Amino acid sequence: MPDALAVQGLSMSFSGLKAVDDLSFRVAQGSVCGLIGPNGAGKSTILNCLTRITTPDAGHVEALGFDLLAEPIHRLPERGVMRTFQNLELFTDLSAVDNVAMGCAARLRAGWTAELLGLPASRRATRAAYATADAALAELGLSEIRDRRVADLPFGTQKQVELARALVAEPRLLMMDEPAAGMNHTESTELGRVIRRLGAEHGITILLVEHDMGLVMSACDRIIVVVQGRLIAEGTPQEIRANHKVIEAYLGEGEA
Amino acid sequence: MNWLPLLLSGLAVGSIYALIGLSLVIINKATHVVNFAQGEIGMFGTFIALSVLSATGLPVFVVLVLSFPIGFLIGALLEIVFIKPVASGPPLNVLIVTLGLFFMFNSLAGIIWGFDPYRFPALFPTAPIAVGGAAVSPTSLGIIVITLLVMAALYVFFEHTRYGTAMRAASMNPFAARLMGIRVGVVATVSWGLAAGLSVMSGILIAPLTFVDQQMMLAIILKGFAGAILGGFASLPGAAIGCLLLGVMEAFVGAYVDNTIKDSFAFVLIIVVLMVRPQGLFTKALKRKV
Repeated sequence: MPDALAVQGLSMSFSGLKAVDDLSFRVAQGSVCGLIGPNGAGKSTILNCLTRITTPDAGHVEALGFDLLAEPIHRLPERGVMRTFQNLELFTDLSAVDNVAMGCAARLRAGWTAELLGLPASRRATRAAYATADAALAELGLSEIRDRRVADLPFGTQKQVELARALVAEPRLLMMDEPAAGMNHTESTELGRVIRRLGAEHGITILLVEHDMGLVMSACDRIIVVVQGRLIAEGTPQEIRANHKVIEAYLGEGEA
Repeated sequence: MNWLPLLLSGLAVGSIYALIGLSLVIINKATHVVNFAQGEIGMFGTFIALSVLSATGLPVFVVLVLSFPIGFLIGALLEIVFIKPVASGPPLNVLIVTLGLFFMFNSLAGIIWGFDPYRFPALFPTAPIAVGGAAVSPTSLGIIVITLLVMAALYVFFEHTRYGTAMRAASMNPFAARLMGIRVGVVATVSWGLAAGLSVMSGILIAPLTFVDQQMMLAIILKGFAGAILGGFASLPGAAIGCLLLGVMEAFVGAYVDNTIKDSFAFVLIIVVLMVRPQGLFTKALKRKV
């Protein structure tokens, strides 16, 4: 299978501190890849580089066959790249369905003059956006909270709304930053099932940053382990579980 | 029954304030500054409308309808030429640019049209009509009706169209909006266009009652600002209601208390509101982001 994501020599430092250090890895199309590491390992910085929020000092990234670092951030949705956030980036005063419908903003666009004047093309696009949003909410079991203001929803539910918003953009590469944070055990088990289904049924490639090891081990095809911005291990969940370098990094030296 | 004409003339003046107040709030949501030049944009657009009127002889109502797209173009152009280049800097820089625009339009109007006041033809019949034993000015009624229609259109646009929702989304979280592929830069341009369109409309509505000159909008932008703060600068409906309320209160204070304190009343009111209820009368309490 071809790679959905190929990262080559990615480096990023903040005033002398190397957050990401000459990192290279590949993620196969349609697979679920875990990205794990202790706190401060540079995982969020890696995701920020891969979604054009920060520009790395060096490196080359090919995603879905295009040069990712050459694209501006607002072009990523139409290129098929979406992400969710550790601490949520929702439109807090909008309803759940409005939030999710905004995920279609790039895909169902009628041109802003048509939108402003309310031409038929824009009304069609709007209907399609809200139908898609309703379907996504239903798929994640969120139909009941459709019209609720998202700021009033529990954190775990807000995370699911954010996931729905990313999914309606029909991404082919989805990066998720700690999606299970703030979820209880039942919710995170259900999330694991959703993630597997996204890969298996919809062919979406997923890069998953997560601290919940149960979720990572059950949902991922492969796992890469990053410590202090450097790749220290890569393999299947079984291999990673048995890798003594990983155990050392998590439990501290001398104990393994 | 002398309160009804008073109420209506207060609402009419409040409507003019409301159009300016709404445009201030719309720009504040998009660009995060108070646009000092808002009134002057309205004044400049009114001069353009007057020139169009005398050059073409179009009916005055056609010119009123045209005033919105004329204003929209002026506002959108201003945003692209003057605001976008400084938009990434601190808000204070943008604020200074809007002050510059104030002086630019004020002087430009003087250079082009001179410094004498012009008459603007009446939009409505001038003879009062009798409503329930009281004489009511058709001008007041006309201004109120037109303003309410504009407000209803704005409400539908922001609450029930996807572009309006996208504009609100961009104002709440520009970062996430960009990630959704919403072009936040275009949203800012459209906001300036909308706001300028409303300001030019307010200029044309008030012009037959006052005169068209460089100074015509000075008091009105201050009152619109005051009314918007009274109702709540963070909310469009709040700002509109605040401006209407201010117009009515001014009318009653002028009639029953003293006509000379009418103008200072607005500013005393701002100070009191800012001390007692800084978020305005009609918006939820401010929450500081942690």
